Amino acid sequence: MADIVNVKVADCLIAEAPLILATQGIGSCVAVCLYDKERKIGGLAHVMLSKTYNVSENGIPDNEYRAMDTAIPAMIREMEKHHSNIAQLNAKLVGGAHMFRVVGGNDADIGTRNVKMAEEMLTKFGITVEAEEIGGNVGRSLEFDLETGIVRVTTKM
Amino acid sequence: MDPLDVAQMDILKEIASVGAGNASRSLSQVLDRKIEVQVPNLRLSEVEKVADSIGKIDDVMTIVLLKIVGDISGSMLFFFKPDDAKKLANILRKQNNSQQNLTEEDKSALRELGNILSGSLLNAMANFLNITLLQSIPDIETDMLGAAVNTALSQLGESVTKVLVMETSFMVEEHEIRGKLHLLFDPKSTQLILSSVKNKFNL
Repeated sequence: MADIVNVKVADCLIAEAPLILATQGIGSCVAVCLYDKERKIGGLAHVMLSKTYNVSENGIPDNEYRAMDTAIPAMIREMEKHHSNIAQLNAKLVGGAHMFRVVGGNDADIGTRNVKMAEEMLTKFGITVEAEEIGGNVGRSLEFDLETGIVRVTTKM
Repeated sequence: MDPLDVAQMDILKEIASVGAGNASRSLSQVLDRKIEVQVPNLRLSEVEKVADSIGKIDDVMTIVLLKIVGDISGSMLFFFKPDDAKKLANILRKQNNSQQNLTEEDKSALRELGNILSGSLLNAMANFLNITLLQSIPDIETDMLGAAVNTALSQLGESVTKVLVMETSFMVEEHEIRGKLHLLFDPKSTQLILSSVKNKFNL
């Protein structure tokens, strides 16, 4: 059994096989799994929001992995540093649930917006979304096996 | 947001205590049981670190969520272990249901409890600060803590990177039911609370 490494919210890890990347408690957040089949390099980001809210004066967000519009370019940049061929990457998306439907209301459906932004950004980089496990109203956890590229999604409800 | 100094933290802690004290008195009345409540703990946290600071990300918890609106905006979250949520529902509904899952009636009883507690908490804070605080209707979910907390926080996260977290825990004596209460405020609201205190005491 390969070692498992956990990725926290608003964070990202790029690694190579044999290793399993994991993240827990994905609600309206979206976990992005990028995989380079040939080199067996994978990236996992647990992203909270669709758009970056910028507080710094120099225009650089304090954390690129908080929101999707900056997270995906940052992920791809890191994958390239690991000598991954961007043209070969495929993506899997997990999360974007709509919990707390009473309080959240319709226009507060952040999960849907997160998924949409992820798809848009991936399309921009020419990356195909191979599989999605999104929407609904349950929290999810995942394990991303870098040996096979298989993403296993579990729920507790 | 600039870090808060000791004096500001003390002021906020005092306000949190006033609110938590009032809420625990309401809880005691509703349940007709003694409640033990802890002194609130305050911290400024990055949005993505709040869930980690509350508990284990993948632990299943029952959470009652309300939004705070009015002069200041924020969220209020009550956390219970699912077993404790069931025990509370049983006391509230004067039943002894051994079935583990919460029924729809249990959920509405717990939502109503959330309503009452937040009402008394916000009332106490609003009176103290001379401001208007309103609450949304309550929602309830049982799921992984991380999933629920980050979802509840995502709206705040769209405009701020740090939030003020006021935390207090309480216990229903004799039943050993434990719960946690978290109030989350954005920096703008935190500053408004502080300036209301200054106005009140001519500081």
